[in-house]
Amino acid sequence: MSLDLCFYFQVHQPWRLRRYPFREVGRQHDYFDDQVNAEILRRVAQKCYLPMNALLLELIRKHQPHFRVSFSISATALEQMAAFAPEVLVSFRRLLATGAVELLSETSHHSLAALYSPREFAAQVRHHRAVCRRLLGAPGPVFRNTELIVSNAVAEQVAALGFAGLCLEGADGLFGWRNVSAPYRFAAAPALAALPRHYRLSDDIAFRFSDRQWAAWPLSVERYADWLQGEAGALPAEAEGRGFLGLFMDYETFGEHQWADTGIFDFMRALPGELLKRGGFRFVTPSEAAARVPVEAATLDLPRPVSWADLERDTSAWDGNAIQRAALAEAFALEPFVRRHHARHAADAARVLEDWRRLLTSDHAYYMSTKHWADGDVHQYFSPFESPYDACINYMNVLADLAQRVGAPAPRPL
Amino acid sequence: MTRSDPVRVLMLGWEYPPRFVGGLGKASQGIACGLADLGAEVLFVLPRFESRSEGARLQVSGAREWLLEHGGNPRVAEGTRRPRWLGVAAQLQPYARPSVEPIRGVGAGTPGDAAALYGSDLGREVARFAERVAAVSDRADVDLVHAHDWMTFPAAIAVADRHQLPLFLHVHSTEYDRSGDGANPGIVAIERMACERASHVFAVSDYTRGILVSRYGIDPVKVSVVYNAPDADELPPATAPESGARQPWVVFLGRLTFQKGPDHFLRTAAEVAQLDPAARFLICGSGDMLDALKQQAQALGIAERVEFRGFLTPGAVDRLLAQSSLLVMPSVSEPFGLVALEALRAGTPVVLSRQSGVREVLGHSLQVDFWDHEKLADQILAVLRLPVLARQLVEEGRAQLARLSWDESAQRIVDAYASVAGLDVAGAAAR
Repeated sequence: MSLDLCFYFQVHQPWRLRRYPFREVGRQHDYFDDQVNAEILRRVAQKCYLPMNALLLELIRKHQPHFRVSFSISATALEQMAAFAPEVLVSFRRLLATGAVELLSETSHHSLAALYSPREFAAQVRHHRAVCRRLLGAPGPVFRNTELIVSNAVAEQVAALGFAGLCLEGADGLFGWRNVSAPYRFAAAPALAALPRHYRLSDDIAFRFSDRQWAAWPLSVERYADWLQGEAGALPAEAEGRGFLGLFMDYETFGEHQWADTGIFDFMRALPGELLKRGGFRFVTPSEAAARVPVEAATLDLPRPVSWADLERDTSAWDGNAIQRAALAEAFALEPFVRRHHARHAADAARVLEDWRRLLTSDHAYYMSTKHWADGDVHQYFSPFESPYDACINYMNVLADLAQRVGAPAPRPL
Repeated sequence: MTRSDPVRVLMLGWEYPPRFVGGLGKASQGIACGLADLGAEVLFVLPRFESRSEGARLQVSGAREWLLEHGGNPRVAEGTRRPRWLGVAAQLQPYARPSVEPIRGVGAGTPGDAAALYGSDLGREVARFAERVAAVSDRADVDLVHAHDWMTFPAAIAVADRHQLPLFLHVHSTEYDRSGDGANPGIVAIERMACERASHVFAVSDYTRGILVSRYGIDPVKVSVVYNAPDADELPPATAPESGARQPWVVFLGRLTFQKGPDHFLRTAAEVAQLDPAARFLICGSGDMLDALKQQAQALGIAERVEFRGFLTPGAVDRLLAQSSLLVMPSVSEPFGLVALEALRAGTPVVLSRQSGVREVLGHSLQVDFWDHEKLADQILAVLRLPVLARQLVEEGRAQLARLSWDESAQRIVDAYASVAGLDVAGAAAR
């Protein structure tokens, strides 16, 4: 009885927009709220990135060579660390230097390009690799797409870029009766290993850990280890030695979403030792996991995109309403103009390209979600705007200015 | 002693359709009908009104008319002693001080004008109403009194004191909403005294509840929120506005008084006019600020972009809204704001003041602090150039309105009758 455990932590910060009134279109080209972005990054660095990095370093050293983890860090987060809290980059480099930490590849700007523009998608993947190399080190051969959005078409694009594996949500609607504690391959791209997230055991830590209404509160390390052992024991005989359990979550879980006083750091400090003591578990990096997936592994077919967001586990958090779809369509419609502008080597070419890509970050569309808006749910928790409609108006104002800068016709009436 | 009869409500109001088409009348009707639907017997009494029945359990009548029908004496002797606390009310107007129009949509002297109907001496009318309602209550067997807005509060108190009845007050607006810091101290005194005396107070929004608690010092425990609702027939299937089918008209609709914020509308219009050459601004309504607003439009250099349309009949309002791109409600203080529901009914998106009650039930709307002209200008410009935004606001807003109903509002009232006074509307009340 043996089960491979893969921790992957998502690190992302968007470049949040400032309030950009329509009368500034054609006049002002600074779109981002440096002050708010710096404040948030420094706060999260203090509460999460720095203490959790220190804890992981301690655990890796203590359990050497058995404990390992992986990160996916968007380029927008990396650039903000470099600008506002470079000590965070230093601590990540220290982690990577242990050899027990792997970086995943993703789009540089945490974008939905995979759904809208294969060309821009490939460009952002390359850009992400370049930013990682410059600031931290090269990412490995496994990819994770924005918000774990995966479909057959996305898998094909990822395979075409030469990746060995792709992370995805272990959604009920996709897996049904199939075991989510095992690796698969993609029907649309059999060369690509499919590494599923075990959403229940991941969310026990990411969402439920501090929930006092939860029957398992307060969650002890022993109890959680029991659950993991239960997963290992439930593997069918023929899957012996081939189990894969993906614990994928936002890194901000530690200290930001779950505050330190919930005991989340103590829990994580004790967990690896408890699992290694019990035996039957092996911590793996995504590339190790992908390499171990048998060629004949069962395949997954994803005609429609699946994500890790909301109960729907689809893309409706970003494109579920008319204003979101209009805004995304308008933003991606600028692509040929941005490229032409760039090709002309205009003085502001690099900045225009970077501004456009920052506007492609999925968070902007997420702020426009009206799902459960009246109930004031998680979408609003993350939004710097008073309403999805204000988020839309501000975004469209910025887009109108960018369109002028690249000589695109004024946005069509949507 | 117990009985199984339905609860009998003596409801006191100042306006009721079809004689009055303003917000108070419509809300009063919605509440009365909702209560009757839930099984209460409602006798709705106004100062003057043709007596009629609406269904089996709702009777609407003028106090005078009811007394004549039931053998009472409607004559109030001249020189009758007026309660001392009413002495200040001699020159009061219920909703538009010092404008002459009592409610939006109704011109002075039209059949729906309360001032024309009730006479210009409102204080006398309020006092006479109190006396007549007391006479009504001697002949009508009722379990509780429920009164709408300050003009009826003296009558309600008189009845409640006379027969030791539970007193429920319904606040559709406060003097602070109507007059701001120019509030009439006499009316404020009546509102405060009545709310202190009441068993329970219903406010039309959490916004209004906040005013009652903070400015009148009313115990928050005894104030609950009962939202207005659109009439059942007010939300026909959405006629999705085709882009281009509407004029680039931005509409202000309301009395031209400080509290409705027409000056904020104009200042924002000047900003919008610079950036959208097609936009036009329609000001519909009348009031004491009309001349000042015309001067302001001149001074802002947008006179040729602004139209003052004056008062509009309800039908004209609907036709205008159906042609317009956007309704702006920049109120400085708005207890509810039924005009927003009218706009959505016509398929027109709205910008709501954050200093309003209706925004609490209409999250799918653009909202803005009335003083934030830059943001308001951005919202107007966006609706004018992004039809997809306008469509979504209307569709989502209407879906939200469809979940409001007078029956549900009435249920909240009935719950309060039960918890505060032990009166169970469905019958079997302990007395």
